[in-house]
Amino acid sequence: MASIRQPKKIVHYLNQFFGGKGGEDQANLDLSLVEGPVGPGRLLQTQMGPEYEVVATLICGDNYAIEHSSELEHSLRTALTDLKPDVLVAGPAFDAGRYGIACGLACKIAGEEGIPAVTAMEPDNPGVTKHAIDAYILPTGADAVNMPQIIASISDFTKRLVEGPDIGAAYDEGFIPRGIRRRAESEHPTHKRAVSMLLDKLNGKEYQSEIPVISPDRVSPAPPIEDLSEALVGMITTGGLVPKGNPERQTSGNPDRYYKYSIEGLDEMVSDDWEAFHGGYFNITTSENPNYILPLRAVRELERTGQIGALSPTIFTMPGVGTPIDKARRFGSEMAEELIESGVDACILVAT
Amino acid sequence: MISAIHSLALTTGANRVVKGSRIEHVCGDPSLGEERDHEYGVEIAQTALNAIKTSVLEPTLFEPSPPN
Repeated sequence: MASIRQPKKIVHYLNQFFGGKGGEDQANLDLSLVEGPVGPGRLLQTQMGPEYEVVATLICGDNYAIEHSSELEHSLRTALTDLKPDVLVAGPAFDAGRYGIACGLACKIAGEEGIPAVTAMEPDNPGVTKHAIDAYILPTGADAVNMPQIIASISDFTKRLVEGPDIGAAYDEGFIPRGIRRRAESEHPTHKRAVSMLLDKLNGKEYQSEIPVISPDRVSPAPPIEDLSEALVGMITTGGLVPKGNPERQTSGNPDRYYKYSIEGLDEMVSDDWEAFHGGYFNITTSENPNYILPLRAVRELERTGQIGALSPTIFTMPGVGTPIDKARRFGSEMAEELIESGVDACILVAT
Repeated sequence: MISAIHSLALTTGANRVVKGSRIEHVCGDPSLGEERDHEYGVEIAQTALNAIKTSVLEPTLFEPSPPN
């Protein structure tokens, strides 16, 4: 007797526009469920064939998705728990920022519920910045002209998610890198791979780095403070400044945390009490005069002459060398939060 | 930020960069002798304050006057 296989269940997430509810005037709609495929979901159904069924389409307004993200999270979770799909597809969102963020969120919730998920959007979409780590995101162009091709790649990826084999590395599979590094075995040892990469580079052939360089963020400049005479000024150093003897056992590079010390009542950094411990430069000169990496003596003079209101009593230190960008970004944002909380208006950072 | 490797700081997107002395002694120069070394340190810190007071649109280098 031939067994009748039930089609695999797909749930599709769309915004109000692609979901056929309307344009910006409908962007405040909360999450609703429509049975079966809608809009691009019909194309998806055709591509996926009879072994898959788009059982439901979840549609949410773009504004609602951003302004009520925790409510959306809750309704998505409830819907996915009820529908129990084999896979979730979200979008594609192209260059639509709110929609891209919502698609990323939908994939994230699905992942947390054990449901594989895929979305697609332009690599510059803020949904990528926010959710690349949570979702498989396939790259698209800025607008919907290539919808059929995009749906075709989403379909292929969706089948892989459900049927296997397991999804491999981003540069083999074509999704936007998630910033996740997995251990893998290679037939060739490191030195052979490095030399063959070098030869390809020298011969103008294509090669793929195993450690892609992450580009640093562009941050909008902070507005100036024209009058600093009332300002509280903070100081940070990445020169590896530690109290003499390094009592907290700070590492000489790539630290797992940053350190805070009080400089209250100190006029300058003296070598009897402070030193440098940093694996990226010759430390002796700075250990003899730690003001070179934390210019306390100079800034106290500017404080005395009224050029700044006051110097913050707490300094932040770490050995900057070898710190990966994602970690540095986290430390930077945590330090900034602490500085703001303690009322600091401006900050001087000394990097070696 | 004050950095001796100011070109790297600018390339990586720091918006207000003050040119430090050298990697081994960013905020001064021991070869100047104590007094002039301190004056140079004050000049560097002063330049940092000027940077904070100045409106910038992109990574910008601020150069302290060289030591006397």
